[in-house]
Amino acid sequence: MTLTDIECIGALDAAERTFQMDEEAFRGFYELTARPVWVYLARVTGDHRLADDLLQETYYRFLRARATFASEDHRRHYLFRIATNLARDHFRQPHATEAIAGDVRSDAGAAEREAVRIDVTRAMARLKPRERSILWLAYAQGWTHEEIAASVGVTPASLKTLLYRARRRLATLLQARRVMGGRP
Amino acid sequence: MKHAACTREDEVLALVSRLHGALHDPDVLAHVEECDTCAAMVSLATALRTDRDEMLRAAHVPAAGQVWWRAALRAHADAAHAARRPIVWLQGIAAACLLGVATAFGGAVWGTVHDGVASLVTRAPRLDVSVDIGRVAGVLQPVLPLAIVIGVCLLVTPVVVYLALSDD
Repeated sequence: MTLTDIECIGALDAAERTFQMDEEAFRGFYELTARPVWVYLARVTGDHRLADDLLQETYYRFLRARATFASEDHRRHYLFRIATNLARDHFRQPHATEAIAGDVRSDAGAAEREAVRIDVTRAMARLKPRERSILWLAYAQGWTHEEIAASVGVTPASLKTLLYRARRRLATLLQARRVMGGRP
Repeated sequence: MKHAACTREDEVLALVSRLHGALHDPDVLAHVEECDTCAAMVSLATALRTDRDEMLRAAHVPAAGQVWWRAALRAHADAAHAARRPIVWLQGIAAACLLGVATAFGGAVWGTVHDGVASLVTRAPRLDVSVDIGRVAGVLQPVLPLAIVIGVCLLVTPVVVYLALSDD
């Protein structure tokens, strides 16, 4: 699709009217949330390029949503809920592929932290997408059970059971890789 | 399914979340030393938080302006697509009407066609094609316009339907 400059300006004007926030507010919100959302998508899908695409789609759907938010936390949780749904929809597609173990975008960090990261990557890749999702939201993002339940679309009671099962599976996988060797 | 829940699980998790894996509260630390459930949870949360912090450091996300720009263009394209949809429907309805009219017309003139064909069959043995072309033309003349109309409809209708139902 090619647009002239005038059409582009018109598109931006139309977007201002269609989106739930203006560009300035969006920039502030994006700076706060983009990295955590990208990391979440990368962990749940196990595919960084897919996470890039889903990140764009997440913010597009967020901007188009006609929702009102009681607080910034509510707004942030809504964004993660969109990301969760997009990841879930991806895995429902027949051609969807599971994560590639060891697909890591790395910096030159400490060797031990890097080893933990690789082990977590590989262990997470062996979990179901929903298990990855709830584990990440609970332990990496620090959400409450109620918040996670609302985000993934289950009751808080079911969430506790799901979380417990997922935790046991991940713990078993990580223990096999000696990540969870000792107590704090 | 029953699982070994600990009443202090949320409290421990909240501390782990706040302190990025480090537990300094002696009371909570003592509890974690004794509780297998909480110990497993703390170990796992610590591993995931370490992983998250590393990934956050290494994450490269597009600039906010770029995401906004793409979203705006997408919104524009979606709006254009939504505006085109009624036109496509109208074209489809028009094509269906055309087909209906053609069918009705064909039905109305079917009697004439039938008579023309019957007449042709009746006269055929007596025709001397090599000799009298004008006579043959005279016989075919009543059904010729109808044949042209039906032929045009058969050619045009699929094209119109295709154009009406295709999005691009």
